[in-house]
Amino acid sequence: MNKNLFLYVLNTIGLAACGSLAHAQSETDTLRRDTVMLEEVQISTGYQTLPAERMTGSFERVDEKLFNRQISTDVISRLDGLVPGMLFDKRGATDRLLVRGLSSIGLTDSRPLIILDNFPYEGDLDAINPNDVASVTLLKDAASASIWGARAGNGVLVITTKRGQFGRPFRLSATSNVAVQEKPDLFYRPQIAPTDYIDNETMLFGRGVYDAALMNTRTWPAVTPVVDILDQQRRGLMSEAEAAARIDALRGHDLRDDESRYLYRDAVMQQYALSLSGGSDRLNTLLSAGYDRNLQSERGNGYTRTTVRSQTSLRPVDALSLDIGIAYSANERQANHPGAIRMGATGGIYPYASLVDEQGRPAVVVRDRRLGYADTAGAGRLLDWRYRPYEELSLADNTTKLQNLLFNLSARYQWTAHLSTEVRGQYENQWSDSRQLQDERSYYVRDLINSFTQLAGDNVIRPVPLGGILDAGRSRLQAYGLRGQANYRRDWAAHSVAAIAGGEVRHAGTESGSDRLYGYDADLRISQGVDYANQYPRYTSPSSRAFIPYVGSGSRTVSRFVSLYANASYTYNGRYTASASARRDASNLFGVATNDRWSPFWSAGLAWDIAKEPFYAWSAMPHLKLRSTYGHAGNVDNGRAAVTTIEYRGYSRLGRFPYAIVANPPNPELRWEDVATWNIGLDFATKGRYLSGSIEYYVKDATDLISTIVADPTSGFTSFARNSASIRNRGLDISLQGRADVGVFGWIGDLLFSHNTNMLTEYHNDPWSYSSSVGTGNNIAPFVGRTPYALISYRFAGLDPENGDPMGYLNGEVSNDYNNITRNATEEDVVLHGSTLATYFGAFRNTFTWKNLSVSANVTYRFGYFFRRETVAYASFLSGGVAALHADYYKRWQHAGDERQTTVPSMRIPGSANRDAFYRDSEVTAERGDHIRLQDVNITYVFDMSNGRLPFRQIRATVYARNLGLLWKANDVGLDPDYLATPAARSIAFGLAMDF
Amino acid sequence: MKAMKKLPLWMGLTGLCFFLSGCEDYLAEKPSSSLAIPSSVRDFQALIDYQARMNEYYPESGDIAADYYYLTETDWGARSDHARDTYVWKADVDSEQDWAVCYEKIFYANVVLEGIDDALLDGLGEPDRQQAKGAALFIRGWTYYHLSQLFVPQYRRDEESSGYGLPLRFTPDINAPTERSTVGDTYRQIEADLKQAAQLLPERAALATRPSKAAAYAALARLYLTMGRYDDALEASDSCLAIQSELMDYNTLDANQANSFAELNPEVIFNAMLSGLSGVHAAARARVDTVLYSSYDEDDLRRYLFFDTRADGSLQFKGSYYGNIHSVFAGLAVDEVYLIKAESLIRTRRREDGVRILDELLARRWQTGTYVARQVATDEQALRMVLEEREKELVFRGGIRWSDLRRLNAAGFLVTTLKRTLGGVDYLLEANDPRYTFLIPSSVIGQNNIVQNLR
Repeated sequence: MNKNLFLYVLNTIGLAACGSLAHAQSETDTLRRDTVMLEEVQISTGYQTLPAERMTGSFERVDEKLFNRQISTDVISRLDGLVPGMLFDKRGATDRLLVRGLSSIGLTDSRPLIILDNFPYEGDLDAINPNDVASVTLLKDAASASIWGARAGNGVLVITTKRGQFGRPFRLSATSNVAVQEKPDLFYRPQIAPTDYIDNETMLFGRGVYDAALMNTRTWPAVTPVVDILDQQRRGLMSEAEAAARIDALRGHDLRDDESRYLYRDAVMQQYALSLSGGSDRLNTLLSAGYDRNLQSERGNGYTRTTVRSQTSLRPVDALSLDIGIAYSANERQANHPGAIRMGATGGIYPYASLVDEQGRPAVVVRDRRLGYADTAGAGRLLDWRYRPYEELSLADNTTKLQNLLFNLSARYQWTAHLSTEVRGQYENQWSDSRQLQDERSYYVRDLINSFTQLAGDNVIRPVPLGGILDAGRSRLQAYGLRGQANYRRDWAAHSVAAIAGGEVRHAGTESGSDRLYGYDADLRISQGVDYANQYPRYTSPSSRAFIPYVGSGSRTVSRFVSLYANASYTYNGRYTASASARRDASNLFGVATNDRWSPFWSAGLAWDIAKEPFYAWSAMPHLKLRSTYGHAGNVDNGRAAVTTIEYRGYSRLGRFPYAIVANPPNPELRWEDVATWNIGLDFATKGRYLSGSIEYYVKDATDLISTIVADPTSGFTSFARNSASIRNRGLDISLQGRADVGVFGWIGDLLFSHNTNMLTEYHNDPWSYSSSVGTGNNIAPFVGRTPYALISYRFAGLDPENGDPMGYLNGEVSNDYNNITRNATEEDVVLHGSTLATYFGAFRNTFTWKNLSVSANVTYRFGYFFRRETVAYASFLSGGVAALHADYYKRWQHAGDERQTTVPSMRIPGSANRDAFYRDSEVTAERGDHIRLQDVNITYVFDMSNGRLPFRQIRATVYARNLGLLWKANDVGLDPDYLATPAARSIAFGLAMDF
Repeated sequence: MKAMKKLPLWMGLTGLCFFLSGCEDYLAEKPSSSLAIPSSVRDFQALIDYQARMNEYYPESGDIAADYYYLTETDWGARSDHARDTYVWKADVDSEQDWAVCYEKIFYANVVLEGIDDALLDGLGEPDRQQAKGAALFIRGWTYYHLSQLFVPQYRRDEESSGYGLPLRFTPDINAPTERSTVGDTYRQIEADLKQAAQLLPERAALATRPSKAAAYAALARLYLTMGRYDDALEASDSCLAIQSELMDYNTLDANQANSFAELNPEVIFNAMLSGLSGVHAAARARVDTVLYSSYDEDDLRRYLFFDTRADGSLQFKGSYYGNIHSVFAGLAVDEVYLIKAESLIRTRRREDGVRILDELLARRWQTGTYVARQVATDEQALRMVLEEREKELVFRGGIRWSDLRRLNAAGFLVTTLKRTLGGVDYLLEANDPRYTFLIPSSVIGQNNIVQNLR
């Protein structure tokens, strides 16, 4: 290898690691930095660090610059749209990370294993300060991930934190970010106007729908204000004119206006971080501290985090190196927002409710019982029984404090030039204390006290004492890991070998508990005991007796692993590399014989650096490498058991006998899930690196997946979980980078493209009907040969011209037998649209630089998937329920002929939940999810001050805007397919980073 | 420096020792503190004391379809499709929920029966083992009985070999096959389970939430009555009453209470509740049949203790032995055993003895001093009278009326055609219509190769 080529290789590797960083410096500057960065293009698997060129497997690396392009409080959300093959599934309440499709179907964790500095991280991910992160590497295939064995089936995310460097003077850097996020758009979900809602209530009142509730003078169930007014009018307590006037006054009011004004705000997120690092020849150290303070868009909710970290490396003699790290993180979360306002424990609220009255004071909203009753019950001797949600906001005191402490210690000794051994240990301790103090003035406390109050003559007996109620919860996590490992590395003649072997023990235990104090006085810290053993009459129905709610629990979980592993790679002539790894894991999986607890995983790989072959003569493409791997990894859930297990649940209601339920039916065949991956990849770069990238194709077979299968109810279970499914994923990950430099102007374009298709290849019981799989596609649709997350709809045959009934198919015939369609639909009665997860997705990130200014925009896209939009459901409302109706109501069939313009069924009385369900899940409410999104824009200016008089060497100023909206979408119903409940709020952040 | 050199070696060795020695114990730690393999008698007793399953969720389809109550059109319209269809006896109604709750109870019973013989006593005694085992047998037999009244045709001695019996399960193995037994086998199994339970159980339980010998005999009496084996029914009811025969004097009760009876009143032999998932029988909805109401004499205290007049003049039931107005009692009580005994005596040609038993019961139901001992001239009159009293005493008792309709229609005595009217449409259920037997749920048919009931 001639010297120039060698230098060239160094250069290219450095650039690869550099990602899309704006190159504002001069050409010589770039070259200098790239040579420095060469050492950083080492890929850490958590067990060893290898030069990227020796790896046969598939991985993606996000370096510090790219990672910090995004501004956020947490680590994970910064990775969205940066890495091919990783999809953020946003259908649930929290984002779910999927690496290369599906390797688990819902019951075991589908998240990739997260490694923080060589060990699996068991604590709260939010405890990690993103400013401490040096790089993130995603291990995607078996050769790179299978070293993590039984927990690597979903891929592995290796987070490496910053460290000091030997022989570098101490430097201080400071970062400050402030972000503002818009308050949520509560009007995103279309609802019918309050005035139309009131008209319908009036109509239903006339039909006697509310009569059962109105006639109930025992428990006085809640009715809406309009029903109450109509009832008073009917009973002659109010004139028709007055009733009409009072109802009209409610018509123009929309609760969402009040909620938006009084319960939400623009969120503000502040982030500050300091870091000091440097070292001598024998010692280096890094000290960092961070502080975050977020005011969330829900009023009353906030988050603060303080992190402190120290990482020190020692080299007392040349052969010995020691590492000591301590990280401490403390955060506090306030959750005082009242959440959704409801008229009862469940259900909705009438849409014309107000949060404040004319004077701006908290207004009363009907809850649990009729207003007139709540006003007068007990003739003044009960506590106020009315509910004022706006007041609850200021009364709530709900805080969770979490502290996480992480120790790392490692020692490595180089015995000979080739052989070294190392011992690594990690200890993690996390405490979390939650405290929910419900004030005596809060509705919950007043309601509980009142519902147990007995009035006996002049005596007021209160089994639940006056005073607040304090619910306290504690949880503690303790985890440790200990690893012993031998490393061998040798290069001679044309050969080079790198091998490791070792053993590891890991333990993660959690303990948690909660308890409650009644009659709590926050100032005096005193509380009162209550009688949990006897039942007391309920105020509203003295004949039914109830226990005072007891809140107290304790639980403990332990997960343990013992593992042995080895990994070796051999390179010949710098051109051919072969790698292999093997690992055995054992865990404390319950009820499985010890022999079966050990599960082996292995992988093998080959790489061929074609460009280094003597015959290779394509000078325009000086870098070309082909690699392929195959291997196994697993996925485990130690919470399951193979034998019948029972769970004690406390004491029975009558007789106070301890009782237990069957937690787990016997399942002697329980075993770990297995993920086998075959990967083939091609890396290339043109001369001058104007175009570089990689193309990878994979086939990933996940077998023995634990899933809930619908059971024959004769077994005693309508469903249960067992190893019952296999999924095959096939996909393509492409990442391309193009660049151009014209004088002071530069451009880098990164195109990421991922394609994944997955299908169920095995499923132990065939569903007898398609009906149970029709829906939103968020649950498994178990049809072999199709994707498990498929959107399946009932076939729709239009509306009945007679009455506006939606018509479907049953056994291929047009039918309106909704009960049967929603239970026994066959294949010919349904439509299979396709996956509800994007099958094509990626990002196109463009970075333009001009002198010290860089502008970078990331456009993400998702194609080839479907989602279900919401629509109107009448049944609950028509039977007297309270819930806002969807605005599709306005498009409903009303007269013969309407069926030509609309698909929305007529509102018919009595309502039918199955008729609603049929239409809700019919093919007309399925929409294409395809869209292109402007995810974020980053504008950065670097002030180079190394020559100035100020103490700064450099200041970097950033404006970062996120969630800027959709550029294009396939659906024409105005919905963002990734955000069906509330749209992603736009945010803008201002950042300053100073190096001293 | 020298010591430092060896540090990694020592750390490594320590780690390795730890690694190789305690592996077995290290991995034997249970993953969650609440998990336990049932191994002791206490564990199995705890499963049987799972009141939310063993004493609640008894199947309600028969009671939704029965005739002692009616719904207004509005209330009917506001119920689930399943409840609405059951109410009007729609031919293809799917009663999966009832099937599932029953077989869940049977699964629990089988978990206990599989392990109880080898269970550790752990400080308890053999009688505790017997009690847990007897309770499991009772739950299994009693639950099969409920299933038989919904999903198996009315018992006829000459049709014992027909294949329309229940799938019988004797193991908790979730993979066990589901095959229909013969009608004869089904009833024989119920009888065997209850008989064995009667041998094992203590005479009376600490609380009527637990099965007892009295409960097993009462259940047997009900079973034999359903099968038309009146001699056996008489014997079983006698065995039951020999242990527990106390009747409440209704004169001591207060008709002004929202619910006239306390939970676990002295007549309760086994406490149980109808599932109530449909909400049909809640006091706010179920209106009492007016013909039935008018059959109670002015001096009959049940008229006041059982019923309440609502604001709109209709009647609601407030006499649940479960102790609240929302729950239908579906257990066993002494009054029912009296009625079984009276009917069995009359049907076995001991008319006088039967009528005297009835007198004993009714004297405690009427205002003190108003009740006059009944005189009847013929067996048929006596039978008619005891069946009328049965309907009046056991109104709103889960499981009873539906079974009575099935057996009386089949015997051709007091044949009833049920009728509902909603929105001007009349729905009829003729005696012995195949719809008196509900369909096996489609989820069961779909997953097994078994024969569906007739339509």
